[in-house]
Amino acid sequence: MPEYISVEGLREDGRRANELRRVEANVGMFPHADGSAYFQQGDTKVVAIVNGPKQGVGKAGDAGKVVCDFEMAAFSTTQRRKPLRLDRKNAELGSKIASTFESAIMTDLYPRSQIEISVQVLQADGGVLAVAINAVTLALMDAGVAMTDFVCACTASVIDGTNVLDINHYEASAQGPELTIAVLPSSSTIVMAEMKSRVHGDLYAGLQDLAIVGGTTLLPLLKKAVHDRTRAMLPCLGPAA
Amino acid sequence: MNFRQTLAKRYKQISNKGKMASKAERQFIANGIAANIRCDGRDLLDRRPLELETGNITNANGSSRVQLMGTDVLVGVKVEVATPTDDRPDEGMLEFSISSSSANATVAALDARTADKMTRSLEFLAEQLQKTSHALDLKKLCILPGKAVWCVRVDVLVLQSLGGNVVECVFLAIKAALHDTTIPNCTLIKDSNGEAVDFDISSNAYDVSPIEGVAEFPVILCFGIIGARVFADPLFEEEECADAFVLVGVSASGAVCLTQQVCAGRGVDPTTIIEAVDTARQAVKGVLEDTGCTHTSICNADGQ
Amino acid sequence: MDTTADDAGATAPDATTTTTTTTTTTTIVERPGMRIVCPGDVITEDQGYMRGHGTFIHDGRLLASVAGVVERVNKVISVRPVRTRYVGEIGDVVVGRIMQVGQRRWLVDTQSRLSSVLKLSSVNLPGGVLRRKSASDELTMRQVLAEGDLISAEVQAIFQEDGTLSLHTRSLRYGRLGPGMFMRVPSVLVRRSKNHFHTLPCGVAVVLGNNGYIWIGASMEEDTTQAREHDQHIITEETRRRMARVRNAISALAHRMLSIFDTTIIFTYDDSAHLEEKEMLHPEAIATITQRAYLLCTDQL
Repeated sequence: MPEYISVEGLREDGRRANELRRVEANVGMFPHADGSAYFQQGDTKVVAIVNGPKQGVGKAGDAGKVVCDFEMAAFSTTQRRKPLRLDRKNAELGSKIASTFESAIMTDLYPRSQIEISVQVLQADGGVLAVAINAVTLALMDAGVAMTDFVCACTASVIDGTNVLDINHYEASAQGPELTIAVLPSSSTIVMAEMKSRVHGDLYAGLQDLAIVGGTTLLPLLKKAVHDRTRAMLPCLGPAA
Repeated sequence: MNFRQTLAKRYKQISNKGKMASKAERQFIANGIAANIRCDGRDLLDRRPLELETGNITNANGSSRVQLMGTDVLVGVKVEVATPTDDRPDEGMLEFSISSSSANATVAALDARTADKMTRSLEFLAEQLQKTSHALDLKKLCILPGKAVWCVRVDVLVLQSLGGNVVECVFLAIKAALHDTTIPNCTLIKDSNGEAVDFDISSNAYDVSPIEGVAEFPVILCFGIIGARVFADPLFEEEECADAFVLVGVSASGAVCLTQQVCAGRGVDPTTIIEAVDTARQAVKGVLEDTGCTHTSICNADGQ
Repeated sequence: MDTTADDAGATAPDATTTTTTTTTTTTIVERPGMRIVCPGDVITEDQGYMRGHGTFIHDGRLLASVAGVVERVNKVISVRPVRTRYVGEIGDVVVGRIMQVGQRRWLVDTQSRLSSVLKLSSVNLPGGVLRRKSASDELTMRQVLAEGDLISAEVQAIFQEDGTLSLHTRSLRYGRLGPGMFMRVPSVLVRRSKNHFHTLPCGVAVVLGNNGYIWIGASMEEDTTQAREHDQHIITEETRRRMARVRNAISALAHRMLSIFDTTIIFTYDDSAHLEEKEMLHPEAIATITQRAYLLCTDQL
């Protein structure tokens, strides 16, 4: 049986149970889009592109709509997967991301408009949904879309009786329950929770707490990425009046 | 055929979305081409500086990314063991799949179906390139005849296309990714009669070889035509105004292995096409040198 | 959540706020060390301030809703995002592209959230002809402005309910743009200024739309209402090269995300004199030719 956590309490990649993977962000990589971001957590790499807010189909008075296209590159997974144009799993993830962000975006500021989000997973190494949500947060902020807060997402799982944070693909093969949670960190509200496996009722609370901690830990990292980008963009405002 | 229709349709699509150039702009671009001064000051056959990086997708056997001022193409190559087909038991497989990201579609005002058709026709072109050039010896990709061969799967993702010249970027990226690709070495396990019965794939990440013959793999260069003028590396706005395009598949040594003319409005004088083909043969060396995909560089890289 | 906010929505009280901003720009606007905030950041807990664009109030505190720079005009605090779709103000000069010819109005793409509207009553028809009210209106309208045509215009009004911009071209300087080049840059790069129509020292004409759409022409048109024969318009090679240089200068500025106005364009244009037009496309060249503009934009000059 493979060993997921060593006697010293270290995981296969050297992290402790409550440690996140290394994070890398690049906000605004596609200057032609309204907003874009590349976000990498461990070996999971995601590009998010935001188009809009632009003319939607609604009538006057309708709040802005958020739509999301979720796509996985054929080479993103270990086993190559031919991308299908109508992939039900991807469609579901897309609508999940869209509804997550509807609770953070101030949609009533954008009547009759549509905000189009496109997520492209370049490399999948566990926690794809969580990493995608983090990438979308950055891309929306790059697009200047008004939001009440950052949306930070993280996964938590139980392996060999230990609660672990931010699992990778290898750890997912331990078949433990995998909980993905998206939080608005400043108010600690959960805007999305997903778990697709059986878990003992007593374990759930612990998992949820850990995932929330993971999300809150991500906040300063995401904030720094947005802050750095904004600072780099300051010359665009021109010389002081 | 298919490609021609979809490309022509693409331009229609763009104009329907109100992104097309006005008569005055078209006139300006056409006059500029005629005067050999393009919008960005280039001569007809000048190319824009292109950025290329390889090896950025770590879980692929080879990868590349080509950026050309608003056009962004990512390629990942995966090598897998597959069972050969009955009619070609000793030949490996080389498959291409090209897709356009949904973000690209919305930014470039391309609807999903047109984008889909366009990528299908590019896939078709890629397969034709291999078929006509025989650059990669598929027999070399055979592990155990009739039992196992390598299947090289090239997946192209068009992330952005606003810089124009997507076709050329796609094929340069494919070539660069194939150069970057390594295949694990295999040892055959033989029975007492000396017959190979099974094989063992090396799990050592450094016990790998490049794909043989990859330096000869062709690229497709795309030329726009306005009037009787041929121009290289079209901008997005020039693509909108072009009368036609000529796609020329050409290998590093200058051998032409595919040509295709795509009309986007008007017919083209035969000599113009010949001019485009000749230009492609002369230009290919420079293009490949710029991207580092030349015969020599790859030998050096893998010779270490 | 007790969230109230406003941004692009341009409601009535907002319009007043904005007017104050523009008129008092030179005297009261503070740029106190350029405070950068991200969405959810608390700007102030002081109840004495009013919320402007890019902010909202939660639990009595004033929070940012976009990433950008805090700006204060009197008691109104707003956050200016560094990137966003074009948010129009009355009086802005814009460059737009006709997308659709509708009933007594054109729909114009101006890189704003919703398509802008140009009413038939807001244009000067060629030769001062009075507008017709008949079934053939639409056909006649297409002769004035057809799909794809570029125009320069001014924002006349902002619709209350959804923020749609209503444009007008009732001045000789506005109207259809002739032969030239079109460029698209992020709208934040073009600042509001007194003049958006420039004839650069090199003779090239530029219209810098507040919405980030830019038109580069051989010369400024005198009377845009006259439908002209483009074919008769001959642009010399020299002018064409200059126009290409201006285009590349602007795209270099946009590449480095530097503010685009006459001074930065002229700086970049002049500093590229030692290069050929096409050499300005190289990344190393972009860094050198925009250096002076960069220093200007970061107040180091």
